Amino acid sequence: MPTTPAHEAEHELNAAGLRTMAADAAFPLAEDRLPAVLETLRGLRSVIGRLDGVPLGSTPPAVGFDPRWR
Amino acid sequence: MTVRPWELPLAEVSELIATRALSPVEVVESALERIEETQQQVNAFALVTAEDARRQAKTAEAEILAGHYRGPLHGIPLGVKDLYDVEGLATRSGSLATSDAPAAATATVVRRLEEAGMILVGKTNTHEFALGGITPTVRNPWDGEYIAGGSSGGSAAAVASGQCLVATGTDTAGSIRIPAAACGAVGLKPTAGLVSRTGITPLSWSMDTAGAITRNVLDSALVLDAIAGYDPLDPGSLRVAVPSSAATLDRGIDGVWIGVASPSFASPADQEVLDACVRAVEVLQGAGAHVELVEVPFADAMLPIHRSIVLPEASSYYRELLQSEGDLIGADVRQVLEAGQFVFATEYVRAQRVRTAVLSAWHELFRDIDLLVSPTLPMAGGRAGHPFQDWGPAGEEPMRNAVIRLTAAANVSGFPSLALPIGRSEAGLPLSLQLTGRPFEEALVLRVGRTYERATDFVGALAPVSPGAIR
Repeated sequence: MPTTPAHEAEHELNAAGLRTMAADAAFPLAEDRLPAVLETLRGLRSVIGRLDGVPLGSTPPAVGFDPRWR
Repeated sequence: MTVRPWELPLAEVSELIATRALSPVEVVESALERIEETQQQVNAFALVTAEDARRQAKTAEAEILAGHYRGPLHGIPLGVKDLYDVEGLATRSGSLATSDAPAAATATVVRRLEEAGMILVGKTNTHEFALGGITPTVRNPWDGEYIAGGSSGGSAAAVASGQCLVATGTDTAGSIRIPAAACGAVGLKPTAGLVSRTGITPLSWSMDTAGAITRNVLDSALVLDAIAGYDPLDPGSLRVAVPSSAATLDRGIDGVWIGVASPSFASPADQEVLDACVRAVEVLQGAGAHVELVEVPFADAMLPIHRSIVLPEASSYYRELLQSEGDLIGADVRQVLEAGQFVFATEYVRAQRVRTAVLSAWHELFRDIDLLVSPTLPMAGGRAGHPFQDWGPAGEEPMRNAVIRLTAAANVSGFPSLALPIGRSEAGLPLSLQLTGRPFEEALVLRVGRTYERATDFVGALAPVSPGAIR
């Protein structure tokens, strides 16, 4: 299942964007980490994007969830 | 030449121990000798607990001589993946970033195996944090130029080279089945929720499964019988009836319906892998199984679902460690965990929702078949140190994707899945068939594997580890 151009555009990331995202997520990345993480994240997004348009089930499975658990 | 105990299959060792023809002391000593003579070539073990093992073996010997034989696992050497806690030993998870403080308690699976009488001989190497299907620290005992698979690479290499008869593993994307396939061993990923994960370092709460790698199918059934069952300490553990898998192993497979995954599911794949799978299915057909070709629902969605779920979960678990000890984490694992911090919550939930659609479709598929078979790995051996698998005209595929491409589906669905040796490639590397069954039907999966095991000579073969075999 190929990644759609729309998806690529939607998730186009650059170092500045990742730096901002990292700061927002309280997960600061050192400058020397940015290129490797950016490359991995682009690859990851390309794989994740293949779920665009795939049918969804009704609810997510709450694996292991039991309201009695404490 | 006299056969040494480490060369014997588990069933034979058990029989000899039960009849007092062989002492656990001799069995453990033989395993330790084998580790010593092959560890340098294979590097399966992160830690060898020789003195403790010798002490436990003496205790086992005394128990058996006193008439307290515990069963077929009593006195059998066990390797434990270094992701499992063992009281008094550090759990390093294949990483320099983890603590060297000893664990305060033993993982439920290890405790149950120890209660069955197994003797820990050491902790086996894993791909760092179990996040990878390669285990670069371990060499394939059949040929050191090829990967041992991962993440339970040390466990599979240890079993395949005769260093122990059973080793525990974990399977989040295929980490029991991939190394079992690469090393020519038997690997069972049980149904999600059947085997406790208490005391095992998590990678992905919703995909992690604990299990074992063994030399034979019979061993796999014996181990599963010992470790399966509810554990209140694991929130993912399920209260289900656990019938003995070993008890029904030899009942045959007459009338069992086997669905063979259509070629598109495994494509691209090496032709000799596909040919070996066809021959294996013919063996099962000859034993009375019905065979039909089936389409695997959501085949293309498995990897995206898997990545969307596992990486955020793993990145969440390791978030603090990444920030405090990131420089000590290997480059490949670190950048994946860092990238996982930036997967959107909506993407994670979407993948979990697609997963429920997968479950519905798989249950529908298994109304018509009892078992789904495919290759375990698409390649006949993955070259060590090569980040890409070359498929010729079909292009290159990242090795980390190629090794999990056919196994991750059983983690997404949670169904039980077995890696079964079915021969060797022209280059002499193990080939493997993957058999996936309905939830909690491990007994049937193992029965089919056992039928194949009895009909051929491929299951149970030991790797010829020697300086000449490891380049």
